[in-house]
Amino acid sequence: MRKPLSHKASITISSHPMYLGIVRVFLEKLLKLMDLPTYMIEDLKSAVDEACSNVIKYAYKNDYQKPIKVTFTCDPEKIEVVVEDRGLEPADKDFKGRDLSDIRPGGLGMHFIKKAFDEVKFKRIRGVNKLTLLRRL
Amino acid sequence: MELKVEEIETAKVVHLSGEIDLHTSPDLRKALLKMTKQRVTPLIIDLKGVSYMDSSAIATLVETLKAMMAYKGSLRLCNLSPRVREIFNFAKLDKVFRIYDSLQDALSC
Repeated sequence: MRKPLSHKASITISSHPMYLGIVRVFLEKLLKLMDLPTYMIEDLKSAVDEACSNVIKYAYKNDYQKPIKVTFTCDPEKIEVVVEDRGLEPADKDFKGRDLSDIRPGGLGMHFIKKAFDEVKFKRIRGVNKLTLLRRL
Repeated sequence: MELKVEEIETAKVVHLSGEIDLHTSPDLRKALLKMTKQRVTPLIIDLKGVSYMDSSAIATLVETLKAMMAYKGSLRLCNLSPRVREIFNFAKLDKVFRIYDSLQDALSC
């Protein structure tokens, strides 16, 4: 059967870290439909995992019962992942990873996100944080 | 994530497998902190069965390394999958950790 050229799917999880694995499987299944190289699938999966982890840690301050919605859209030219939450607005510093030569625990998640995606955009609209991640193909 | 601890000769070896993420890394952190409080050395972390590692897992290993440096302990990592190795290289941690291809190499260094 011929595969469609574009896909759209979304998943909403509670903000408990135990559900992060479900988001990774969700993404992996979708990315495999696109015949992308393994390294790219792994990079994209890690990046979205880090984005969701950041929501749990910083937007929801480890409150594990809040919603996180991940929407995946792709076509032959790009992949877009939108991560939405209703938590606190992140500070500017939350979008900057630590200097990679400054070896200390933490501060790597945003580097993983920026490694995988060409564009990282944040908007807060009526109490909803919306992180849009774009990867051109 | 599964964590098994074994003593081989004078070394304590932590065998890890599965996925280490924000959900499972606190258990790893707890186990490793307990060992660093006991000033365990050498400590070998065998990552042979680790299929996924996120930044919280890396942070836990960096924290362990720093804690061990304080008492001049020896932390060695071995059996990193190509993906985990790539993460270490990207985060510039390949020059910071002592990384070995096999458990045998880590034991015999």
